[in-house]
Amino acid sequence: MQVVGKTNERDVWVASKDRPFRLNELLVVEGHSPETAVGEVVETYSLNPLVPLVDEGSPYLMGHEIVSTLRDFGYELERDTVYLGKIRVISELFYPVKTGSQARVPDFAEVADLLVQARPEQAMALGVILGTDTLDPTLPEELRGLAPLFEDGKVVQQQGVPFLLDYRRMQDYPHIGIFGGSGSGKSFGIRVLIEEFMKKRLPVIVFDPHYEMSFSDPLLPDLPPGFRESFDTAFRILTVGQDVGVRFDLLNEGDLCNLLGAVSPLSEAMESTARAVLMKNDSLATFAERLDNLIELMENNEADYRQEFFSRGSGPDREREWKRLKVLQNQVGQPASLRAIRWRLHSLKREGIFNQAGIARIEEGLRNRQVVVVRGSIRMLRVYASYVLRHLYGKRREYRDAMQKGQSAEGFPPFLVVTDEAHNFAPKGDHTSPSLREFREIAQEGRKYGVFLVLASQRPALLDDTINAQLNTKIIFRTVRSMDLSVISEETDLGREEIRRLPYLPSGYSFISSPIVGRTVAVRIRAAKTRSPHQDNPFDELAAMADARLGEFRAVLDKYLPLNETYLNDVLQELENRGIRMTRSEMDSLLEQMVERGELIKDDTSFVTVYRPARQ
Amino acid sequence: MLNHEILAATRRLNDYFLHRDSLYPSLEIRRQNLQQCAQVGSLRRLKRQEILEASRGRALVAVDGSRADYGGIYPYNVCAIQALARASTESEPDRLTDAAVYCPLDPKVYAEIKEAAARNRVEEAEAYRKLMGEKMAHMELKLAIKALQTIKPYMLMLDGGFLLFDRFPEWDELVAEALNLDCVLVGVIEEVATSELCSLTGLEIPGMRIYDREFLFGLLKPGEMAVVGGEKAIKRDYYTVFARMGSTPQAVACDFLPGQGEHLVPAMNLIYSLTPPQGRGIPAWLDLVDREVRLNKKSMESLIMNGLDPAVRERFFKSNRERRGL
Ligand SMILES: Nc1ncnc2c1ncn2[C@@H]1O[C@H](COP(=O)(O)OP(=O)(O)OP(=O)(O)O)[C@@H](O)[C@H]1O
Ligand SMILES: [Mg+2]
Repeated sequence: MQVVGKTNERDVWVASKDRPFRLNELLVVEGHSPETAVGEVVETYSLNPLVPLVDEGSPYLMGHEIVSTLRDFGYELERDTVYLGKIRVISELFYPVKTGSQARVPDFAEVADLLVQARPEQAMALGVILGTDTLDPTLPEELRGLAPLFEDGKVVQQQGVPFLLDYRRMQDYPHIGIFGGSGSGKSFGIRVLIEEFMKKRLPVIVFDPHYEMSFSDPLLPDLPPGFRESFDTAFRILTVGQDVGVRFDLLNEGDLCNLLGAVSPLSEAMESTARAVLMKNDSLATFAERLDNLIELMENNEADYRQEFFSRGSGPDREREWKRLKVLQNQVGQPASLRAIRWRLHSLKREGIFNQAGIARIEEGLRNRQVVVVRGSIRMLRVYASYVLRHLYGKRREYRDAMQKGQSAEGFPPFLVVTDEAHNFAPKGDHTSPSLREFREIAQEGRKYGVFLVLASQRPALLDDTINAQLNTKIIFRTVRSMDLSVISEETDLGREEIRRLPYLPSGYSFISSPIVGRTVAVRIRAAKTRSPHQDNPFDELAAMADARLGEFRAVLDKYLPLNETYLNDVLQELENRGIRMTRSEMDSLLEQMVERGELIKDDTSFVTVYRPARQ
Repeated sequence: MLNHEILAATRRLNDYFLHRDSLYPSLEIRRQNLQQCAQVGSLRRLKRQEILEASRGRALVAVDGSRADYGGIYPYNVCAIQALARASTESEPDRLTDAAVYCPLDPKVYAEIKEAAARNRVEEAEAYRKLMGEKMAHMELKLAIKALQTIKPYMLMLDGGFLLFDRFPEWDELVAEALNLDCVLVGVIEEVATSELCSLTGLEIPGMRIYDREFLFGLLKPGEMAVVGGEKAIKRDYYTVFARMGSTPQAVACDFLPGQGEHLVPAMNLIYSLTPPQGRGIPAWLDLVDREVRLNKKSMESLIMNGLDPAVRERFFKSNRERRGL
């Protein structure tokens, strides 16, 4: 292998006569002052002077006869095949690589510094660095077996150098972005990341709109012994409205406005109305009732309404409430704002977001250094995430600020926030989006307080720019859309060659661009240890459902065979008796299927159709 | 900018060519004339068995050179020359190479240029250009001798006619070695530049010099050759074969040694078998070596970038044209 052509200190072409180059493989170029230069193969070619180039003006195609005449003179075409690799120099050079220098495959020790920046116990093992298989024989024991791969439905041994990310350095380079098109491996990658968080016992809150983040089921029933790991005590799953929610009695005016505004933005008048109407110690019921009463009061004759109001109850409390209503009536002026608040409140109530459980169990999980998975619909989570983050981030900030000033305060741990579909939580160009502000704030100054984001999205182009720019580490999976590609090329240090490869990456292959690592590394994400609860193939599921239905029908039908068409309704009746509802047309289609499968014979030789069993 | 006067002048030139065409004898007459001084015959693609019998396992060798220069106007110029002899077989070695770099600012080189300029009564710049051409031919010649000795091929193809090489003292050695080893020596000329055929065939057009290229244009049918030699030889006593081997109407020429007349037909048939019918009529092996040896602008630049200090490059060789930036 030899350096050829014009070189500079960064891009170099290497040619070989006998060995093709592999993408991402590392090579050292010898004879360099002060040291050897290490480079990564970013493009590969093979060419033969006798096979024409596509872009050559007058292609020179060596005919079959000529090739065979040359062969008679001992010449084989393959002898002139030349392999070319474009190499991106990783080492810092200040002079161009010398053309003509020899290149070779390195030992692990020669390139260790460039590939592994952290000790395995201090870092997350996310996968295997592509193109490092040739280093496997010289890999030290402590770096083996950290990142087995998932291939053809099996877990296979790690081949090559593991990609280790020193999560502690998020202190300097906070936040992680995970981007890639549908099926590119984002969810799988998040799972691997969260597994690593769990191993390190980091407090994490995961917003899970897909209900896919559970870590109980092993990836495969028979995982290799050293690889299997149970996370049962390391995570908890909480569903909004069921296990967690918003405690209305703890809401302050600001919280209330935020929640209402999350449903649909509030005008200034609405906001001041909401602030005025909310009283200390209000429950959802008392607040809702006050709203109703106030609207009634403003829309009816006061004397009539007063009578009605006191007919529903009396006493000093009632008197006090009446006085409040009167004061509010003057303050509010228009019933329109009240109505606006009322429908927003009902919408929140319908979603089930108000729940006495509050966020206690989330807090508890984080304090226990668990991964807390919060489930809910996207709509609900957008609203809820904004509420939860404001509180959790607030607690953490208060604690840190107090510590800073030497005051005592209730401790609250640093934590990570993970979410898929991040462009829904922090969309670009939509300032009214409920959780945008919280995500932005954490993106911009979460580092100070030890709060970090892990945001995944299919559409980086739709994610808020400010946040996007703060995601120091980016894991990029297969991406096809040109809009997303151009955002990626702006926001990362992926080179032209890598951007060109993005649309063709297989699932689970990624480029990781991170200042923690110092360069872009091509990584195949390791096998997860666990799997999503609904990873069954939907088509298998469909087939299973159909089979079950046919089975039920077959059991009943058996007793009626041979079956005269005029008695079909009896079969339906019998099915109904057994609690199986079936329409006539479904039954016809099942009968058709059984005939097709050869289980039944449809005999329409006489003037009524008869179904007979196929077996004699 | 396109000047109208320049266009008008070009049109006038075109008119002249049309007029010249009209003076020209027809194809049939030219053919008849050609047949008077040359033997016209057809080429044929050889069968595998014939090739194996003739070559008896020996290699095909082609020798070619390439030169390229860098820098500005004379004498601020560097000329790199390299030559390659390559065998078709996997013999050890299967390639012989040589290379040299010249610069008029080098006193030794300058002395040669001065001497040649005086001898040929030309300007130094012109003498330098010619000298470099000769250096390359000389290098090819020496490489050819070495290739003969080490590879002992069945046939050795030189890029260019024998006249290019026979001025050097080593030529006789090459000829002797070729005859001794019974290796067919061929000089392949892609661009025929002689003007012998016309007078040889007795065709005269007053006031007009007819070059062979023009005379031969479209004259031979694809797969046809015309052998000139013996008494009527146009270059010394060599055989010269004009042949139309590719699809272009242009003929190429091949020189053979007088002592190898008996090999001429089988050798031409072999060369024909090695020539892609759609191409420009050059045997594949020679073309291959040509591609391999070629010093293009890019590789020359890379050579200079890597071989010369930036300061030296800037001071001596960077032309203003290069600085012009457009
Ligand atoms: N690291 C990996 N190793 C092996 N296979 C993988 C890997 N990552 C993903 N896959 C395969 O690709 C499939 C799709 O991956 P995943 O569900 O993570 O995609 P996604 O990017 O989350 O897509 P979507 O945006 O549609 O949710 C997985 O079910 C798995 O079979
Ligand atoms: Mg997914």
